[in-house]
Amino acid sequence: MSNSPNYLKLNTWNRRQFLTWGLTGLGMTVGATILGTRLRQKSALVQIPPLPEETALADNDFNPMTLLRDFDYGTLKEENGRKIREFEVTANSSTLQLNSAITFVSWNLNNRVPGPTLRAKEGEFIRLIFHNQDGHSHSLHFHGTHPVEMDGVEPIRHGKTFVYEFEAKPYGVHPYHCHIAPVTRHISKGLYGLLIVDPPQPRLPADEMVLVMGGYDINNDEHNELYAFNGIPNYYRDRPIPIYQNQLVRLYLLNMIEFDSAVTFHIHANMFQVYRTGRTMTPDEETDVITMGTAERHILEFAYPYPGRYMFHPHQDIIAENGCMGFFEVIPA
Amino acid sequence: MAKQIKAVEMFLALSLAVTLGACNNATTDAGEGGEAEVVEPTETVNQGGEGGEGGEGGEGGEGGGTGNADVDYMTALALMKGHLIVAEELIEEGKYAEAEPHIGHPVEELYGDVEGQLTTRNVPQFKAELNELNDLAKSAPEQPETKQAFTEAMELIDNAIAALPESQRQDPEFVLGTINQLLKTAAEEYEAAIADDKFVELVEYQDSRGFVLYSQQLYENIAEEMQQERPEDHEVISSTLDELETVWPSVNPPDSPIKTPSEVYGLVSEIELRSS
Ligand SMILES: [Cu+2]
Repeated sequence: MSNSPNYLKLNTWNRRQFLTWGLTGLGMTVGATILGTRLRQKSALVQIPPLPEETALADNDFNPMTLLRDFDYGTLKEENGRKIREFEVTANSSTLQLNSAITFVSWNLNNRVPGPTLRAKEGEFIRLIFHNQDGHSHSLHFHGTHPVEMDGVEPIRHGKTFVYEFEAKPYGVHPYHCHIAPVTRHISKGLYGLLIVDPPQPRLPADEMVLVMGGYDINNDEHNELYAFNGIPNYYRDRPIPIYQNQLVRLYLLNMIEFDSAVTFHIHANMFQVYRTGRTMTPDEETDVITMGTAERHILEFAYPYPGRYMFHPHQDIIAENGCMGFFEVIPA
Repeated sequence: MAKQIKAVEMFLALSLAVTLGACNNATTDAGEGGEAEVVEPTETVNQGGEGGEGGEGGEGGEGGGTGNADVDYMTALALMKGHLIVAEELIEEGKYAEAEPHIGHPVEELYGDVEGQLTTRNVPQFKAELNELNDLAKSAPEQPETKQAFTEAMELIDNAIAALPESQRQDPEFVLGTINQLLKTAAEEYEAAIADDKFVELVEYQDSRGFVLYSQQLYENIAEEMQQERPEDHEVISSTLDELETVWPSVNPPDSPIKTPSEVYGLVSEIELRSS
C-alpha cells in the first residue's frame, strides 16, 4: 500500500491472477474491497489529496508524481517458518527526457530513476532477484548490515541474474546502488534507490513520500549539469506536490548526488523533525536545513500550519536552479 | 478512472498494480529487436554466506548467463579483449583519456566474473596486473611502463583463454556460443550510446565496436570448418558479421548512426538463428 507499512498479505494472492486483471475495474474493485477496512481506519488519520490530472510526462517511462508515494513491498513468502520478502528488479538502459532538449541515456532499475522504493520490516528476510539486461556489468550494493557475500560489489554481467539474500536490518532508511567502477558514472546515470526497513513498532501514520536527490553529468566531464528530485529536473517545480494543511508528512530523503560533496536540504516556512538515517523513533533534532553528503539519508517529519505554495530545495542554490527544485502545495484541511 | 472511488483508494489499487507490474516487467521485458532471452532465477547456486551467525547469511547466488560454464568463462575474457582492442586503437591515435575507461572495464566489470573460475582452471590470478595497468592509464598514460603493462595484460588474458583446450577453441558450437554473447552485449551497448538518433555516449559506442571486432577474430578460428560443414550457415554468418562491422567504421563514431539499434539487434539475431 502506498501510505502505511501495513504489510498487505499479497502472498495470498495469485500474482498472475492479479496481473491478468491488471488495471481493469475488477482489479481495482477487488483491491479496494480487500483493503477497505484498513483504509477507512487510515484515511481518518492520514489524508492525501487527489493527485492532479495529467501528471505523466509523455516521453518518460515513469511518473515522478506517483513514484513519490509508491512503495514496493514485494511478495511475502514463508519458507521453513521464515518470512521472506521477495523482490525482482531488472537493470537496463533507457532514455530519460530531462527537458525538452536533453535526452539522456540512463542506467536504471525497472525503467525508473530512482529505482523502486523497496520496503520490509526489520528482521524479515529479503530476497532480491537482480537481472542485468544492460550491456555493462552492474551490481546492487545495499547499505545496512549483511554478510560479505551479499555486499554487492561483484559485477553481474549482461544477461545474468544474481539473487541477493539478507536479513532486513537494522531498521532505518538505506540506499542501494550499483557498485561497479567508475561508481560515479554508474550511480549518476541512475542505478540507485531506497530500501526502507520499518521498525518493529510502526511509526505514526503519516502522508509518506520519498524524495531522492540526483545529479546528471550529461557530457561525462565529471560535473553535473542538471539535478533532480526523483529523476526529472524541475518536475515538482512545475507540478507541486499536493499535501493537506496540518497533515503529518513523513519524508524519506536521500542524497545520491555524485561529484558535489554535499547538499543542504531546506523547506520553506516551516521546521522539520530529523530522524537521522531513520535509526531513531524520537527526533534527533529540529531544523529547517540539513546538510547531507552523498548517500546520506534521513527521515524528516513536518506539517504545514498555513495553506499555500512552499519551496523545497538544496540551499546550494546553483543546484536548485539547475533542476533540484520543488513545491509543496498545502491545501486547506 | 472511476470517480466514485476515493482518491486514496484509487491510488492504493493503482500502486499495488504498479508494484506487481514492475515485478512482471522484470521477467518479461526482453528488450527491443528480439533478444528474447528470459532469465529465470531458478538456478540458485548456494555460494552465499553460510558465514553469518545464526543463518543470517544469504544463500543467494548467480544464475542465467548461458548455462554453459565454459562459454561463460570465455565470454568474460572475450569481452575483456574487446575492451582492450578499442583501448589500443585509441592509444595509437594518442587519445589516452578516451582509452582510459576501456582499460578500466576488464578489471571493473569482468574480472569478478572469472575470478573463481581461474582458480578452478589452474590459471594464475591476474587482477593485480589489471589494476596496475588501470592505475597507470589514469596517472601516467603516455609512459613506456603503461605500454608494457598493457602488453602484459593482453598476454594474461590470452593465457587465461588458452586454459581452454585447443579443440574447444576451434569448436564451432563453442565459438558461436561465445560470439552470440559478445554480439548481444554489443547490441545493448550500441543502443545505450544513442539518443535522439545521435551518438551521445562515446564509451558505449567504442565498447560495442570492440566486441564486434573480437567476434570477427573469433569467427576466423572456425570459418574454414563452417564453410565445409555448414556452408549455408557460414554464408549468412560471415556476411552478417561483415555487415555489422560497417556500423562501426572507426573507433570514432560517424556523424550519425549508420544503423539503428533495432537494425543492429536484427543482424545479431540473424547470426544467432544460424548458430545452432
Ligand atoms: Cu552499474
